[in-house]
Amino acid sequence: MNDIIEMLISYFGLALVAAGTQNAVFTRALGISSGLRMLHDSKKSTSYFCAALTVFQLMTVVIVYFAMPLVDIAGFGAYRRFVLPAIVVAACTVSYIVVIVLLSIILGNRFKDVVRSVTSASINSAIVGTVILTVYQGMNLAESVVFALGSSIGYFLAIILISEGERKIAHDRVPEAFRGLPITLIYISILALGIYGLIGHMVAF
Amino acid sequence: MKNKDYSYLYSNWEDTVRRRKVFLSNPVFVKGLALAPLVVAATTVHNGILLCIAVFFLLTPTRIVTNLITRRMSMPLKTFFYPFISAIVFSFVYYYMYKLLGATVLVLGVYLPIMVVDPLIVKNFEKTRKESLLYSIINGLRNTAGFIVACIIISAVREFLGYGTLLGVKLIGFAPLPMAHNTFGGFLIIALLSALWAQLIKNYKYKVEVEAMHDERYNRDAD
Repeated sequence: MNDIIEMLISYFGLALVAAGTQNAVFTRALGISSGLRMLHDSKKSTSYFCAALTVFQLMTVVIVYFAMPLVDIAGFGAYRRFVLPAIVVAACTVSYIVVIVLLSIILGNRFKDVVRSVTSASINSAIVGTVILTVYQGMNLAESVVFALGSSIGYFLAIILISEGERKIAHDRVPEAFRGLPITLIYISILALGIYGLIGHMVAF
Repeated sequence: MKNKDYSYLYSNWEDTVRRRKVFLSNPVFVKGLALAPLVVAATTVHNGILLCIAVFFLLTPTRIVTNLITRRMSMPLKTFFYPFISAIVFSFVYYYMYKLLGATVLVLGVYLPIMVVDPLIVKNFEKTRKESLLYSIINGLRNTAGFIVACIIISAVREFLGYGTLLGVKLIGFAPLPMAHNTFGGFLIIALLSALWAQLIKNYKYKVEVEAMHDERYNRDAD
């Protein structure tokens, strides 16, 4: 019983670390370009984008976990570092096809409302970076899934913080040269400084 | 530059902005693309050069191969072909970089592999407009040049501020801003450089406008 509780606590801790002190956006800057593009695209929804990203991330991490041993079996073990991005992208493609088929069945006519956000969430550096990190750090399946879940929750929270911050910035009071990308990056840097203050060091990459 | 050229630039400003990817529509300072590797990994000129080599061999070849293969493809298929081709091209680029440069390539960690899905490389995948092969090559090279300029500036500034060195050579005996090599320092420095870039673009646009108006007045007086 104690072992189970200890294991649950350690997994909860891992998810917390992935969401907070190793936040995908504020400490690793993963998916920041896609996130900012999504926020500035009125046709995309933040919640659909982040929900889809979470689903894709979880599916991709599981597929990659089972696909990596096949690389060794196929005799490409020495090249696994070089083919890893292609395997991750292929896993993203499989996840995307499964999700799109399911959504088109479940949502029917409403499918068109979400497809744009879902498509842009399917391939980005937040997913690929997190999955590659789980492989580099030699995590087991449960750790990979928990880390991916924590990372996508952290990404969601970061995107909400950035979108709220952008909404509340009084752009007419910002010097013209700083409007748009510069002021958003300064805002993100302040939040990243807060996280750095909490952990006191840079995370390994 | 002749006044006639300024008049042309002024009357075709949108097109000029689209074409001049190094300065007027820089992929990093203006569009905010490829931020992840630049914010975290581009802390020294050495790292910056590694990123530039990867982008040079990844961006334009990916566009060319994708252009040739996906011409007759529908959008959903094209969406995934682009990153997949990018990942295949990257596998070769990464392998040969590792062969030639050794373990030094590994210092960039995940920030080299994630380039395969960065909007800088695969940003066109949502566009339905078909482009010619020549346009793909020219546009790819323009974007590459824009990235290289931004990457070298950012990594040089961060190396100098964060370590007091440039290309590993000690310039001053202390680090003027040690936080420059951290993630938040990366965000801040790119923000400040983007603001400076925006101001330079504004000044240039003003100059083009003034020269074009001067030219117009001169022509009217001559008539």
